[in-house]
Amino acid sequence: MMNERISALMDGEVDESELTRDLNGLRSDGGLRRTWDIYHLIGDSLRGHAAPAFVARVSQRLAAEPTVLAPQRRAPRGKFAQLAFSAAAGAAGVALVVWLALPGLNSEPQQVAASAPPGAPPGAPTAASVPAVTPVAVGVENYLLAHQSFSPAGAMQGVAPYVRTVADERGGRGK
Amino acid sequence: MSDRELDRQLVERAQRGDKHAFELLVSKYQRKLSRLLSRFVKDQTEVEDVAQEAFVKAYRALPSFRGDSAFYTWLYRIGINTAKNYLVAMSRRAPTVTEFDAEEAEEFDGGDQLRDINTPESLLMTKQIANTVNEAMEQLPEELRAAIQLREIEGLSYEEIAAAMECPIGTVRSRIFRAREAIAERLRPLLDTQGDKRW
Amino acid sequence: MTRLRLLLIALSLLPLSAAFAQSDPAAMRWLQRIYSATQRLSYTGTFVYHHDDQVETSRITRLVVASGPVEKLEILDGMPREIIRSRDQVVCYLPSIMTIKIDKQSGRHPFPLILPDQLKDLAESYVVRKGEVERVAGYDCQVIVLEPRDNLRYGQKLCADLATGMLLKAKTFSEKNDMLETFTFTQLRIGGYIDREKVKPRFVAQAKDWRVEDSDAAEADLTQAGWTVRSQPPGFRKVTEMTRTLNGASGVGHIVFSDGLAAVSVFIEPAAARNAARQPGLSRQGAISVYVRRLESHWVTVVGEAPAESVKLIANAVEHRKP
Repeated sequence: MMNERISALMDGEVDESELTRDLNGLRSDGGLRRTWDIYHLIGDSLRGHAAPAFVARVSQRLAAEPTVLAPQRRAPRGKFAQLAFSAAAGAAGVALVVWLALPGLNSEPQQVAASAPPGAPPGAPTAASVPAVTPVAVGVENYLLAHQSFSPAGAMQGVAPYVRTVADERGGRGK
Repeated sequence: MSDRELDRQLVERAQRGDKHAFELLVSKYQRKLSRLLSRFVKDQTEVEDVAQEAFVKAYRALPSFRGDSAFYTWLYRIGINTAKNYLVAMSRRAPTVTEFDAEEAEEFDGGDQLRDINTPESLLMTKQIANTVNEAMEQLPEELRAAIQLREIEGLSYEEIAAAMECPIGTVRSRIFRAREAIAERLRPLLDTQGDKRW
Repeated sequence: MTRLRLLLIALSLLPLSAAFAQSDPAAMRWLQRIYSATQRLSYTGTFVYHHDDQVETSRITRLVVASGPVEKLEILDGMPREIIRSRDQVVCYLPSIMTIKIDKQSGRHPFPLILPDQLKDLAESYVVRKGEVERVAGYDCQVIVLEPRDNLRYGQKLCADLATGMLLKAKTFSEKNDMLETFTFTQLRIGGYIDREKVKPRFVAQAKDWRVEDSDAAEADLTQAGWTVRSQPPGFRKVTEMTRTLNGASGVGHIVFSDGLAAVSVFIEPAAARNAARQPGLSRQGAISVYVRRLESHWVTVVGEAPAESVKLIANAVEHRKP
């Protein structure tokens, strides 16, 4: 992915259909993220304010934060989805929320970032890029499934805690 | 594609564990948020701290962001609250914020100049960056300079710029990119020497 | 850091009372009753799983037959998914990805695994006390509180039916008293006639063409391959060790530690395996903490219903020596 796409992307001038691919490229490439930062810095400077270390400092603080994982809420698209939701909500009698895979451990083939992320053991070799394969929808739920049978707290509750171990896969395999 | 769609996807990625996606949003909105907060936090040396705090709080609160408002609107509310808490902690009376409503927050990019943050290093750095950017701008061919000014200062879309400059949209896109890249080339050595890990 | 030093540090984080208090024997007997109820009782009902700010509703049925309980879980929100557990195996039916996941019992232990010393171990790490009587899903139940003796584990508040001992509500809370997750019944019928059909899978006909992921779990001694976990947080003991197929890779190491209430699993996967791209670091959902770490040419993933600190401690204690 090229810097030229970063330029168009930050102006919102790419096609929505290419957005996912572009953001995937950004996610896996630290150099491209630095370009995003620099291009934003240029704009800020032209408008009379530049705080170059700002993002770095926030980034440092975020590194110390536990990674947030929030299951996606599915916004009902179209009338049919709306009806399906309201019927189910009626049956369950509680707020309807969708549980999804925990994609923090998503297996979408991705390049490990060139710079080791904070928390990686020093001296850990950076992985070579994972060869592209048909993505299988796996997430942390597979680990939970293997784990759940050995949980004493779980044993008291019967099969109920297994609800954590099956992700709600939406048709396709994540984004 | 709307800006809102880009933000929405970045937020969703952040909600799925991609911290870098959140940092892209920080990069995008840090100045806008700082300007907003400077109307409450009069001490310029502290505006940046409060803004940083607001972003960290926003990150922690991501699970509760529902996407039914724009990301910046939601961020702005967190920013206001952070500023209020800060002011209360500093035993100053928190200003009433009723004059700011959601729509205003989205349009809020008026003519105020945010004064430079007053610490010696950052003041020097900001000045150096400004000088470098200005020098680079002066050396740009006129059509590149015009394109990036129309985009960054006038806030026009590519389509509007194409109309203004009477050229195809593809040309606009290329000119803006080349302008940015030319300036970035001069900035990179400057930012590298600061030993700032992110750069 | 030695276990003793770790224990002293952990204890110093708590008010003296919790660290050294004795559990109430009557409360311990209640725990015993809750466990035995899982073997004796049939029921059908609806429960809600609440974590972070998400709520998910499921239908659950248990039928006790000669070989033991057969349980079915049907998730009512989102895409249909079902889990059926019997003494020997757990099967997940996932129609949206046309997959069946099977986990067969690897050793002599039945599902679920309940060890004889479990309650004794538990008293070492938790203070168990009776609370008040509350009402859940129309049943009067006894509250039992398990308060952790240190900050390396979470507390639990349980509500069990006065008449049968069946667990109707379980709430996990953090050291700051934040509610991490809650399982609670909203509708329930204990006992009575339960049709066998209610515990059979709905998707059997379609599932003939689906992909089958079998865990191939087999008990194993991972030290033979050079893997050890050098230390654990106080109270945690190794419970079992095996290899399994996970995320498409076979021979993945799996070690389970438990303190009698919480369990933590360590997974060791070769990094070269097909789906092993990972984001290292810490994450959490509900009461589950996950920590991923790279070790030589392997990924170490630790998951458990314990605070980040404990999960991280265990992950960092994983070592590999050439056998």
